[in-house]
Amino acid sequence: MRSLKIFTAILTLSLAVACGKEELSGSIFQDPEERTSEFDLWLQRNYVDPFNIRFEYRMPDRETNFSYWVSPPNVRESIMIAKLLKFTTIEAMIEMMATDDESVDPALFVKSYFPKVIFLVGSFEISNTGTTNLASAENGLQINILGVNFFTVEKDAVRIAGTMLHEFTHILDGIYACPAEYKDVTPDGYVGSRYSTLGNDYLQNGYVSNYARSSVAEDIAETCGRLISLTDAEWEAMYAAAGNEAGAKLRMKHEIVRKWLLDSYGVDARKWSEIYHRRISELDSLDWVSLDD
Amino acid sequence: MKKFTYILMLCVAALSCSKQERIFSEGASERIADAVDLYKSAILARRTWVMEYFPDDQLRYGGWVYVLDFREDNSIEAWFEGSGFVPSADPVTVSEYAVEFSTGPMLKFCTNNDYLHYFSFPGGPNGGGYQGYRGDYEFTIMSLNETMDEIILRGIKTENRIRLSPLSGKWTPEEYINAVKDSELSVRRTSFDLTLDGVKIGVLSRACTPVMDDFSSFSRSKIWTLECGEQKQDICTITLPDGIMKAYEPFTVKTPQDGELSLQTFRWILGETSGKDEFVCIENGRIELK
Repeated sequence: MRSLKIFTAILTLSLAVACGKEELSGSIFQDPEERTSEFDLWLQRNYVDPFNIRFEYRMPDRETNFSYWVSPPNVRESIMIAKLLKFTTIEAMIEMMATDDESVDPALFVKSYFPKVIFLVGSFEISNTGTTNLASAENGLQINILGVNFFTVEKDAVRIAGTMLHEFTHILDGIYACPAEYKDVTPDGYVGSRYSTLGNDYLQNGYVSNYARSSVAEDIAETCGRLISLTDAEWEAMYAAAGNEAGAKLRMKHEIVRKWLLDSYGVDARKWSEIYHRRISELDSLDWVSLDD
Repeated sequence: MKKFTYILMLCVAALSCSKQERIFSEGASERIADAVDLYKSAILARRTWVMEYFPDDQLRYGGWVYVLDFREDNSIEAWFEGSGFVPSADPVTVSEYAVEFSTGPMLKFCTNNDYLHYFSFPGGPNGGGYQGYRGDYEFTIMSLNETMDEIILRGIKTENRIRLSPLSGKWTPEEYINAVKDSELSVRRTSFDLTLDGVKIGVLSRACTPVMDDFSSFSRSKIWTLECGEQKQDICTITLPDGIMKAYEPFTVKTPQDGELSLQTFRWILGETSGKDEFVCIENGRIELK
């Protein structure tokens, strides 16, 4: 009887194991066909290899916001924006994090926190009320740059570089949140989508822009972006225009964000701002066309 | 009881081994890859195609003819019957396409082309408003016929049916587009009597005749209004060479004697004088537009 038990157990096990193997075909989720234009090779050298950043300029519609009708970007303007972001954002951050200590990788900040996907859209996202999105950030992983086909260096380079600072702040805020005390500086002034209907008294209410009044998150992004993109003189002018009470609130927000960047990320905002301004002033000398570098 | 348990275990184990017949000889990924290869090779084999394109799910802007030259390096060059109203002085007409699997086998126009994305571009100098003209630039490949000379696409947003057919060797792309324009311009009337065996049964009319460099009038010239008894409906049309005018889909007219007649395609026939020029229905020669 005991041998029957053993025999049955072995037989059952063998049959079960014998059934386990099945030939599986490959995944149905396949990468799109590899394409290697000169621009793709440039992106590989300047974005993918050093920073593992995908610069998506062949706009797959499924990755766009389906609330809007949008259209793909021109290749020529995509190249210009890739060069702009590399020069004013990525390389500026590497320069900002550089120290005398050679054991510290100055690109670590970019590699760690900069979003892994830059997604270009040829048109803007326009709602049925006429509000227009210039850019957006998604889940800490992706920054969408809109209106690429309208890009001209003279008119848009500084705007897009500034927009990147704004969107990157959303990413940083999502990783190590800006201190909660920020929202208590002007707690009653956030109005959601009604911000576009307000007058131009945002400074007098303690905000750096009307858009900053839409939510705390946008307020932080607007303030942080200007922390880098405005000079000290421009900030002083804003404090003065805001008046004593609101000016003090703006100073408080400025200080909270500056300290947050330093404490959470080791970022010296003043140094970053100086580098940013120098690079913006050097944009005229940038080669916007060549893909040799 | 124990014996019964052992027998049951053996049966379960044995049954689990029963061989299943596979419906397909290849796995899903291989079939997907094969389909994409087939469509891409079919497109490249013919290389130059005529696209009958309809923007807008409500078909308010008419149908438009493109000629597309697909190249091995994923570049595509486009010619467009509406080139006269494209606002750019130096339009981008060579861009990138992709044939790939996404929510099915798809054809995508993936970088901007001022002709191919005219209808999809919102808020631009084309005047298309916040939704552009609701045009698609990504399409599901619905079918490829056996002789590989007709591909049917479906726009992923509008779900409109788009037809690709190879450009005949007798045309260059420019000649074909000019022949389409000639067909457009040869019809200068905005209203026709719809006749059955020479007897008027309705009226087909449109707001205006085409102006090649004005999108508004050009597009409105492609929308005809059918009035036949109590029946009234808009018919969205596309124009092809040799005086052909084709509706987006067949439509029916109610006749006193014959019930319903299905119509879709008309040919422009020159009469002895221009006043006797008329459209003759290809599907039913008893129907004329006079």
